[in-house]
Amino acid sequence: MNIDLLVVGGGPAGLMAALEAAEYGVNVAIVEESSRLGGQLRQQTQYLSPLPSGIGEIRGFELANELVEAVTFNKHIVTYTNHTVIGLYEDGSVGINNGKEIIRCETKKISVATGADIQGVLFPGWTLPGVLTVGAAQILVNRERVKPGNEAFIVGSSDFSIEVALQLYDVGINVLGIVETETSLHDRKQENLYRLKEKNIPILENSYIEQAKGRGQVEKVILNQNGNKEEYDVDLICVDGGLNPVIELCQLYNCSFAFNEILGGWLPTYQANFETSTDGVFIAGNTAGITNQGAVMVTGKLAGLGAAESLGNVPEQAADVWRNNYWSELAKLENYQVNEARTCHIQNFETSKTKVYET
Amino acid sequence: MKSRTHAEAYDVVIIGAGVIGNSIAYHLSEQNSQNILVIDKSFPLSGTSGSTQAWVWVHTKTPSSYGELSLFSSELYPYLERKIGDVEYKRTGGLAPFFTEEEREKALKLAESQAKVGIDIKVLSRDEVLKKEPSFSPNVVGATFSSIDGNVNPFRLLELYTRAAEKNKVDYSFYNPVVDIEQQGDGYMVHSEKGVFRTKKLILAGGPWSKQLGSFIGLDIPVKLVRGQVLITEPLAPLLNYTIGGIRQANNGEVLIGYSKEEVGYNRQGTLDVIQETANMAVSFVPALANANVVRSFSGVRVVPEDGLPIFGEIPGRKNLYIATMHSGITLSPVIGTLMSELISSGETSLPIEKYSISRFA
Repeated sequence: MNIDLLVVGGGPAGLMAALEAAEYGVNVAIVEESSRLGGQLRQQTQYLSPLPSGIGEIRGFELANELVEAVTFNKHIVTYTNHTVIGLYEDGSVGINNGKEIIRCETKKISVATGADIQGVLFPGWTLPGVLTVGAAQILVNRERVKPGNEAFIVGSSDFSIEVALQLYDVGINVLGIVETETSLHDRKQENLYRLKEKNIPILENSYIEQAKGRGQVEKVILNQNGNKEEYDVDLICVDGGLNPVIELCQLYNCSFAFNEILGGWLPTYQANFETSTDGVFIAGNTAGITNQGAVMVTGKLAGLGAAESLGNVPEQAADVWRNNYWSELAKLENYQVNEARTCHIQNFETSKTKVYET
Repeated sequence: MKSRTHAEAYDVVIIGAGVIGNSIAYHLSEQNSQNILVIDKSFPLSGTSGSTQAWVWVHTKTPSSYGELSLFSSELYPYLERKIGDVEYKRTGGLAPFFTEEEREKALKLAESQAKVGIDIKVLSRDEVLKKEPSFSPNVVGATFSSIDGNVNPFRLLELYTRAAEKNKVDYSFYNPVVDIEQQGDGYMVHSEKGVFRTKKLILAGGPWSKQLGSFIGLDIPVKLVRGQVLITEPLAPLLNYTIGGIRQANNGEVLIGYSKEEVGYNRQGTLDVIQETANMAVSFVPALANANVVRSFSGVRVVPEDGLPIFGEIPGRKNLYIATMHSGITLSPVIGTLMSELISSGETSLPIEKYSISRFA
């Protein structure tokens, strides 16, 4: 395989990066390890907001279908589902496994859009069947049409886990509450909080799960709320320990990393064009910092534009104009704190670069 | 370090908290008579000791005197376990297969010479190999076998060494690279990023970083760096009964595979070239592995003295300066710790160690 740009990951960031680069005539291959493109959008049944300008009101899986269609009919883009990047050869070419053989791919640029990993929450009994991540529960309900339990606790109160709590409620699962160690919540979507109230799902502040018990699966939970322990009959615990960028491929590329708590922990350092410290390696989406779906799409555009520019397919001036537009859009879409953290992360890259030149 | 008003003083400073440095620290601390500091640029298991297949391997080590040293070390393991706790040492027995008749001649010679130092080796026929290890490739011609070989859990080993040493009041300073070493009278000043330490005796146990440590005091330490890449499969049903040259199955069913040796400096990147070659080699040894999924791989930088044999002992002409650096640190750890602690505390050792002196390279 010989290509201009290899996009690793067929979620919203990867698809947008591919579409953006293809716009400038770049020949792109998208490698996706699952059987279908669309990534996390595939099981988002809710209307997404905020989204980049020009995209009307739309549910996540419908948006996935539209993006997949655009990619499929684009003559500059080829897609490989059920293909996984498993490593790099000495000469820099990329090894892609399709379950039968390893394909050697030579690419001029690469865009890593491998998304995020959801972290578990540990408590005694956390390995029992019936303890899932909120992400897994959402896939079961919305994509695989499997009801994972009847009586549930959600652990962690991010916007995403609140969304999932509501979706579990909608398929007839009794959600006893959302367990949260913090004592006051900020920055949650007001609309979702209102819907929780409507459905009588409490957010249990200052609480944590002390233990999950059961024979072969979760049957009981001991909840500690404000220091008081109480036992509940529950067969499902959905945990959300936060998201971390998936960065293994960037490690193989020897990118430099920095820790940024707001952006999700360790992630590659990168520049305004989303290129990392390793020449030709771009990152997009949650790999470049955890953010919302609309913002993820714009980071994809930025990475696609950056790759197209570095391939010489976009004149620098035009690229700068578009890049500025996308950056202002990104600032509008994502949470202020996240955008600040991202800007700071990029400034740090620039300063560390100058330092290198000085010495 | 600009400010040197407050140099902490020790009897012994050991640079390097790997399996060798920690073994020396622990064995020395058993006497409870010296103030000991172990200093490391990072943390235990971040370097060579944490990226090993962790064989305790004896029977193919030559010359036979080196085999004998390895034998003593493996015999110390059960004793060490009684003192510091369960390090999951298992004397599985080891097989070193061969695939040509010519190699049988060499195998017989090996068995003969190792017998002289008490290492019992059987040279097995093809059928005997397959009987012992039914999943082995029928292409095998034979193997040398010894019941003395085995393996250990390096993570537990390091953890229990440090715990036991800490209990005996050994100090540790992690994430603290040594930046310079200065001789002062009969002692040494160790300059580190976090401060200066004064010590009567100094032990260099930096493994792959020995060359740099040596350069601080004008010593050439003749070692090479070799990268090894290791593959790990998903947990498999019991498949292998013995530790085999290049392959072993861990307690949890994972199979560790590694043969590669590359001289690429400190580069610890994995490469698909070697990973594929390693996988193919494993399948040619144990065909059933063709169906196994490899779930991860890691690579480590090993240190290999230029003549392959361990370097340890006092450095001639440098009073109170010692070195211990070698390949096969996991195998040799208990014996090196024992001998070095004897040497440091009394100047004498229970085995002759002259042939391992760095002076042989002069």
